[in-house]
Amino acid sequence: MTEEELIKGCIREERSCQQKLYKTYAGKMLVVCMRYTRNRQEAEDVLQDGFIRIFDNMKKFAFNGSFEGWVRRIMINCALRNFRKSSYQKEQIGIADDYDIPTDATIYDKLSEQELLKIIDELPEGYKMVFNLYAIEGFSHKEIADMMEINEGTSRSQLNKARKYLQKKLLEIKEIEAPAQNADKILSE
Amino acid sequence: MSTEKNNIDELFRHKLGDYSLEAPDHVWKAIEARRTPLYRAINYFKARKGVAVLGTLLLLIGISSAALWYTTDSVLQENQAEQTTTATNTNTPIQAANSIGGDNTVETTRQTAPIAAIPVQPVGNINATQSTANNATSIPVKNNSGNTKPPVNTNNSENTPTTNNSDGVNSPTEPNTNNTNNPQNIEGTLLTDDNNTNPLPQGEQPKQEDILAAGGDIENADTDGADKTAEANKNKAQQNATIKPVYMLGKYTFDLYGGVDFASRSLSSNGAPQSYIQAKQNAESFKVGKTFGFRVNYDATKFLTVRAGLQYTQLGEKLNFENKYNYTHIDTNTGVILDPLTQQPIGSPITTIDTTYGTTTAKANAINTISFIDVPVQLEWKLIKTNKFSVFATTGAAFNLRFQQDGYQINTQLDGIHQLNTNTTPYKTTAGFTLMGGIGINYQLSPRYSVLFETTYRQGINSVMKSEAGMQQTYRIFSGSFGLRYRF
Repeated sequence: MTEEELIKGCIREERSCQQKLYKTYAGKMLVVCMRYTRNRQEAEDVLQDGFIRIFDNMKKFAFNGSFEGWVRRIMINCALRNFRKSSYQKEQIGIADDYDIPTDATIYDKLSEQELLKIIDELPEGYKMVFNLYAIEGFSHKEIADMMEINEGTSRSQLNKARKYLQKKLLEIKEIEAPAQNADKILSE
Repeated sequence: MSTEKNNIDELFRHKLGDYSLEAPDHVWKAIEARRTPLYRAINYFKARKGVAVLGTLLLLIGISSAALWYTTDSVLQENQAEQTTTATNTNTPIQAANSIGGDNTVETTRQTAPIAAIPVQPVGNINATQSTANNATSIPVKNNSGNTKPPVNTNNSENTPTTNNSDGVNSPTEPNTNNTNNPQNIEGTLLTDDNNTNPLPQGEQPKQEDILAAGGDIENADTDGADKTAEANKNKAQQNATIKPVYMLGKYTFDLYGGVDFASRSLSSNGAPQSYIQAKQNAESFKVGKTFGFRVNYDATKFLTVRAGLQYTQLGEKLNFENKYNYTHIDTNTGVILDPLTQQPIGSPITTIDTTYGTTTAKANAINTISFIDVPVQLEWKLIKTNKFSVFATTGAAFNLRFQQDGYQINTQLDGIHQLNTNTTPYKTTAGFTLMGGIGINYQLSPRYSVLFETTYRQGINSVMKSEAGMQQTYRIFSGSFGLRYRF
């Protein structure tokens, strides 16, 4: 079954098509949701709302772009709505602004996706949103400002702070990993 | 620095951009459950609250307007009918004369169209027939032989111009001496039955027994009786001249009302840790809520009214959660110890376990909404009642059709909050029964419309929490509402 047939089946409210669509995209979209939420449970709630919206609005998909992109955009919108609904803020830990740490791809490439997700999850809420939207989804600051109802300046500032926070976290990992890497190198020699 | 930034962005984009986890089956089950027609219909209106409220208002306005139009039209028709009857009655004497059978003739000063008839049996013997003057006038008549009979002693309110015999012989009795024979006195009167209360339909003939029962007795007629009749006629004519339109008010009324709610609750443990109950009590507080609804009332007696309807209540709950708690973080690392000189590993790899203890504070703010759709059934007892004002007390119960709490709930570990969803919510979908009692005042603006202010206390009987939640929670709501009452 092609993607188009699947979509048309969903428009006809065929349950088997809807389930297939869910199976196809739910895994990826769950990761998207997890990046924007505080925990897995909340991510699953957003995922559920997102798919309901997708099925309700399937007729609006115009078949002139990436369907996955359309699905992803709906999920992000749901996640942002969820974020706006709950003004949840875990107490922020002071973040120093003087980090300027070179990144070492060889070390960080070894980090698993789960570990990266965990690092993102530890970001304060506002930073997390902006970093995800800008760095991973590729939205501009103007688009982010519109979506989150904040200033462009705030978006830039949040992104910088997010990066510094991530650098700090990555440095901590590097400090742990580097001796082990040296050890591996020596052992291999 | 710019490159480093890009590296970080690239690192996360590359690793997480297309990363996928296994699709959770229970989420699909929840989605399936939410795709049922009923759920979708509820969601449709939930998503379009404005449309739903507007639609309901338009419907109510439509019903009220239709009811108003119908009743106004009925009153107009009643008034028109009344006016027609009055005009007809003005002509009664002539028609009465005309209707007297045989050769009997009556001369009158007016000749108008023969519309309504004073019911008289058209027989040859006037002695027998004149007893029909139950609702007619004092009419001197003469028979064929030229003998004039005394006028009929009537019970009605009308006066008839005195007639003269065609042969110039005056009637032996002049019953109308005290009467005003001006036809204008007849204006505004109604063609009535024995009790002078109900207009007779145009052209309808009263029954013979009714006529006789009215006491129409020609033989016993005298002038005293005629005087009394004239006096009564005068009074009744005055009363009739001031007749106002009468509204045919029914026993059913319709209320549209809305107001504010002040809620509180009782929360107790049914297995949940007391610390959690305490945290909930400290963190959650109610905002002022709102209730609106409609009901239909039936006046069972002058003082007792039964009422039932549908009402929607929405309460707001502020969640301000803050909790300082201890945490334990365990890091497990495996590595080797290097010789500082040779940089060679010493011994086999070893595993270290670092345990970090700390204290952190979780803070969370959220607004929850709690909504009830109830069917209240109440008795309303009027304590004080004047022409326009009444004070009433109410008592009854409400059956909850739908209960829902949306928003956030404190985690059982007291380390934050989580969003409620249909799968994890500890709340039931119905709140069961609520007892209601209250007191109110009603002020009548017009025969049909009145305004009311009412205070009501509602006490939930059933817990709104599921048994597995480990808690029991019931609501207490004090409401003040204004309403508009329409009487059908």
